[in-house]
Amino acid sequence: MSGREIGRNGTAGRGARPGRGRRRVTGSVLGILILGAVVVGYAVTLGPGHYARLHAEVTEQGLPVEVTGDLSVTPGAGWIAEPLVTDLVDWPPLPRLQDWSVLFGEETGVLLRSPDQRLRVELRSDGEDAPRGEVLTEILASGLTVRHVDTPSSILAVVDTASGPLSLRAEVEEGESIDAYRPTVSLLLESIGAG
Amino acid sequence: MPQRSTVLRGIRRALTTFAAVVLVAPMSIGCATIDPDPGWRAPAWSDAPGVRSVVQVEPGEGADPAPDPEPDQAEPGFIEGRIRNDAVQLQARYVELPGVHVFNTRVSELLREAIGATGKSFEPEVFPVDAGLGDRGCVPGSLSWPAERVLASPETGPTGGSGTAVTCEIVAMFASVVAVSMRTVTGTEEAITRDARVTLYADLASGGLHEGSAQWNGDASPGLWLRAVEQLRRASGGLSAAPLAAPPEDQLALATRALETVRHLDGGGATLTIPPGLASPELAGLGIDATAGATVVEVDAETLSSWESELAAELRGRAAEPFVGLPAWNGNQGVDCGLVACVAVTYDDGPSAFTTSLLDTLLAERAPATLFMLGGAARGMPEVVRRAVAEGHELGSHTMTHPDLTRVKPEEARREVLEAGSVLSELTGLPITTFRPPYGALNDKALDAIGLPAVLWSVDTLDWKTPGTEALVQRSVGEAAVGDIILFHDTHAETVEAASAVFGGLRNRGFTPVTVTQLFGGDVPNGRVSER
Repeated sequence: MSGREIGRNGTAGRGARPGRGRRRVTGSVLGILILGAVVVGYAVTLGPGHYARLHAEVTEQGLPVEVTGDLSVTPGAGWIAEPLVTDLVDWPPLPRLQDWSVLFGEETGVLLRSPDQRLRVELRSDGEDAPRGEVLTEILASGLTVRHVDTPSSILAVVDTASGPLSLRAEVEEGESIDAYRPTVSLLLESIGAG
Repeated sequence: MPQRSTVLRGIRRALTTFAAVVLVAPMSIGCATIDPDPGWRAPAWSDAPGVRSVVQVEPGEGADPAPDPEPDQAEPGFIEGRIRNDAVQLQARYVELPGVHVFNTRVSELLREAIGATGKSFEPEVFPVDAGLGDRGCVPGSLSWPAERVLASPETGPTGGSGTAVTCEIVAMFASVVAVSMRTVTGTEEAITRDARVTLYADLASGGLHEGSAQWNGDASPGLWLRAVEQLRRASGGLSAAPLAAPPEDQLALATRALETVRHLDGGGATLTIPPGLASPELAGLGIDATAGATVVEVDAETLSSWESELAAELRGRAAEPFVGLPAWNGNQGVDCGLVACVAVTYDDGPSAFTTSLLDTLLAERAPATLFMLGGAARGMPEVVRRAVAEGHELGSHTMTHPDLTRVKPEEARREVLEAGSVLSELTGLPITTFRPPYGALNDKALDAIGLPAVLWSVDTLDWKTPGTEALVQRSVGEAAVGDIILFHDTHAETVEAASAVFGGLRNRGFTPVTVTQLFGGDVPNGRVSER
């Protein structure tokens, strides 16, 4: 007999089964789709944070840290500065959905951690944070006006600058007191300057 | 089955990639983790140096709930005073220092200032004996009381709790220095309009007097104000490092008043209490228009020292020296009978066997009296006469032999009076400037011939009838009015026995015993006098 050997059941042999290539393609496409979904999922959940951590830098004494193109703060030596990643959706127990613009260098602020890493300070210029509640108003030594609302573990402040409002959210772990870091927050506020 | 394995392979690859991305990436990030610096310390506020604490006291609460131990207020020797006057709605508790005229004069000025501030006409008042005004002098702790309590307390406040209260505390006694703080509170139960304090430092050795304000240099008030407001700013959530605006005059005045409240602490430093009303633009931005209660600031020794004047430094250097003690009480000192309800208690016909006992009682009661002595009796008891004068009592002539001066010639009357006066002067070295005619009998001729003021009486206890001590107390304490001269005789045992109750009763009514000359402000008018 010439030609392909036909099995007893009339199907093609193992090396040349009809439809096998199509299934392989389907499988690959499906794999790519899953991989794509995983990548996208990573990019909008854990990726921005990882990216920011990878770009963390230790500040040097006297050198300003850019918040946006126009504004900067000078935290002093030993602080950790990294691009600010914004949480978009928090849906526990799934990972939080985060703004991935940081991956493209389009973050709207900076995250500072004190050298002891107990104080976390978010500085942003997108005006998303506005103090609500009992607002305290002060004139800084720099001449800028700051409005802030305090809780035992956090301070939310908005400084009116010539380049627009700059918000600062300083917080320690829930349950701890931020009082020991108030002078530190004051120094940060007073150091706000043109970038 | 083969189809399933292909799909599974795809999924496996995807998961492998995912694992590579998700696991490897964090691992590499983990490798890049920056460790915390355990040696880093957050900076502290540095703009209120020298302040240990600032405590806001709730309105109506005492400014200093745990005052330091006070000097022994029961230290014998203070002349304790108390004025109650319902007409001007005032009560005053104060002390005077024996023989320290400059201190006593200043106390009198402060009392008159408080009275003058009422805007009402003032005449000394007395009350029924159950008024209990014999409890006199400073009230320990009253400097720290809420102003409302000072007004409301029967111990210190005016009747009804509205008006003016003056109270005091002895705040220091060391070396030859006595410091007394006087506090004046004016207002009603609803509102306090004034709460001022003055501390008087008397140096018994030099006779000098200065007020608490002299203890401080020009840095003290602004320094205290700035530190207090700075601390309040921080306690209220202030984040600005901008320096505070300079305080206006009224705010500085609050700090100046606080300097009068200085309370030195064991181990150095002190607390100072700023009255309510502390305010600044910076505090206003933090939601505090003005403090509603007092603000107690504790400063360290170094800061306190930088605020002190040279005088304060000198006093501080002597603070560890033991107190030398107050001068012994002496009845001969200035009394302002326009301020206190004076009454003159007089004793005739001595000295006698009972006079020493009387002098003991007068000393114990710190009560000056006027003794009209017979010249002959005085000659026989010169030590008693000298003691009476040494303790500040006033002596007057009661003639040599106790004649009825209306029944002797004017010349004889003159001789009787002046000779007795000479005897007393010889014994004491002091001039005798008044006399009392025996039986109160005196005509114009005798009066003219004698040429001295004749001191009669307005209250006769008739003690020569020996009615018993209870009757004597009733006849004197019960009958006396402001400015009266009360007649006793120190030749009767029960008169002397009643003396303590008499003076206690008079004080409970609000009287201040004085000599006749003190009753008339140091100058007894010529002619007959029987009351002021």
